[in-house]
Amino acid sequence: MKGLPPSLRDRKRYIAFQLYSERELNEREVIQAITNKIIDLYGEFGYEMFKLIEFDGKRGIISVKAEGKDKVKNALTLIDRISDVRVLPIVLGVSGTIKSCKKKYLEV
Amino acid sequence: MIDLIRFNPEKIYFNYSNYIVFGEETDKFVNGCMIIARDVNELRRKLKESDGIIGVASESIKVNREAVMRKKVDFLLDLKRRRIDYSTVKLSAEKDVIIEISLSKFIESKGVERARLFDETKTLFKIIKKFDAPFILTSGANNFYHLRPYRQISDFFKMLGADVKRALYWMERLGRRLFDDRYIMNGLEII
Repeated sequence: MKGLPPSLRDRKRYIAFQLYSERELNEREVIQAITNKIIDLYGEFGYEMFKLIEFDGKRGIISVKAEGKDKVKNALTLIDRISDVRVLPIVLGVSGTIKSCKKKYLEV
Repeated sequence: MIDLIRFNPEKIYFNYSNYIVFGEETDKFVNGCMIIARDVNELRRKLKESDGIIGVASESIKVNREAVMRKKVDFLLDLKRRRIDYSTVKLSAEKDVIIEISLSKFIESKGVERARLFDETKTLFKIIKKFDAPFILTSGANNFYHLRPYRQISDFFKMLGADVKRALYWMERLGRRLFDDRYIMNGLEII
């Protein structure tokens, strides 16, 4: 919901992840796979909204509400195929801001 | 940190110190002997023929209970359809046999089958906690794509009620037992 006062806004967490895969994947495929896995695991009622902030084919950042971060992490852990491509998803870490997330986990 | 896996990888991934490979020959890592038995007689026969680090994998409660009572057995390995009952966990605590709980069975299964696994694993963690039975959390990977960093595995099992700190304690103890020459048993070492 837009226009909420700061006290009512949800706190966010940013999850940095990496995918080892047989071929490079695009953002749509990754979002679809994570969405399906969260619904598989927690159902529609327990679904946690998330955003793929950036993804370069291998590494990316997901934005999610603070209380839903474990759901997204567990969903990532259980993914082994995206669009019939075998993948190995690694959670690099979780941060409170995009800046620190990039600095800590994505800068080489 | 040590991971129990079922294939021979090219190198060590994700900050593990070593792998114990069950079911395949390896030169680079620790070789484990995996015994798959359907009944107790088969287990006894195979145990006589094998030595080294022995892990038993069975779908039968009777076989798992018998395996726990054998001195040769180090691990009760995890399977998708492994059955362990209350008394087996109690015995494993007494006999110091490590119960493996692996992530790969959750990755491989889906739907009702995975829901059943969640339920069984939650109960297993409760019983393990009650008797303080030795257990380790592993990837149990059959291939490269089922490997996961330990932190990711422990975060997942935390959701199911695992005592992650205790799992780490048993993991460290296993590491010392296998790789520390001075270690004899808990509380006893050569100085």
